[in-house]
Amino acid sequence: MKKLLLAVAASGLIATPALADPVNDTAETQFDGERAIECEIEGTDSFVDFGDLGRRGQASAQVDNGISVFCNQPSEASFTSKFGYLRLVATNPANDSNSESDFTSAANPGFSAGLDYSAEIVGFGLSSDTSALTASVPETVGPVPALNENGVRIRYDTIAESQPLLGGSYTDTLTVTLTTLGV
Amino acid sequence: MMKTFLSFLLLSPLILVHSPAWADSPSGGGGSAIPASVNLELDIRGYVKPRCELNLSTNDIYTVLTDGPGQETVPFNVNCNQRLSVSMQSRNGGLQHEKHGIWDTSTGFTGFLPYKLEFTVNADGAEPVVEESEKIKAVPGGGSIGTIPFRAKGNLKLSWVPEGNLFGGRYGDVIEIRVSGEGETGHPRL
Repeated sequence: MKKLLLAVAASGLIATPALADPVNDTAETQFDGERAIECEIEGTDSFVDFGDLGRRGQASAQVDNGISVFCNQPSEASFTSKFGYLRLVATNPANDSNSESDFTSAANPGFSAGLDYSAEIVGFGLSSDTSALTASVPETVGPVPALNENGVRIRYDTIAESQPLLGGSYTDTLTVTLTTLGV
Repeated sequence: MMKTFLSFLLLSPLILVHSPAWADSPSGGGGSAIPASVNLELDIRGYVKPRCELNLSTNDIYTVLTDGPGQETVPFNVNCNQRLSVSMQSRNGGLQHEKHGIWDTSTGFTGFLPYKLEFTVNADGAEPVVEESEKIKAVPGGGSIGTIPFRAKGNLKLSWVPEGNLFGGRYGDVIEIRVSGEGETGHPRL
């Protein structure tokens, strides 16, 4: 019987420190999220028309207003010109300019069959002109911070030629690209 | 209480030794002072080991973020035989962009997304424990659910409302959740 009582007493002694111990459990969880990278330019005009050009290609500057830009990472802006200049729309290839840098009409010495123009993303210090561009080759014009702007403007202006232009229509396609820089 | 218990330990052997003598007393003759019955007072004690367990359904929460409000809910099982107290801690104080700190936030974009944590146990009388991630970065925060959740289910709800546009990319945080009994079993301690 003594053994039984001692066992009971011993049990009580063990219980005391257990009650004093904190009773707990811990869980750790990793919480991850991902925001998709978005970069969009919306609201650009399909056509920018300089109207009637002057004898050497002078024209009023044209501003494409109301462009929305949303890019949630810093990016790099680049311009790509299809022809590298405003090119005469000619049915006879002989009337084309000699090259991207020499706009003299091959068949019409003393007249140009093309002219350069400039483009500027107003307020961001991003600008270039086609004299610095090679046809269909993107030209980096500078870094752009993450943007959420609705009133972005692009200003276009012709750069007058040193000789008169052949009569006709002149055209080019300019592509503005924002490329995210990654993280 | 300890004194009573010790007295019981000391007296019990004597009582058991003398009991046979009392049983024989009716034939012993003449002893009118011999008691017919004896009252024994037993101090019976028991001990249930305290226990508090928490099992989250996942240890890796992934969410697709937008620039709008969002939420994630993580179910869990909890089993506690004491009134449960929970404490939560956020390593970053919120969802933090993996490149947080290098960004120019003057553009209206942010690489940090604080969120609200709501620890809810589905048990009668249980109160949700709510914390803001930013407040539990340096020190854990939390509180009591106010009840004892025996084998109960619950969920951890994480919700957020971005204050600006979020930079594109990955965000992360680590949440540590600790549950413990409050030690209020209603029984006296030995």
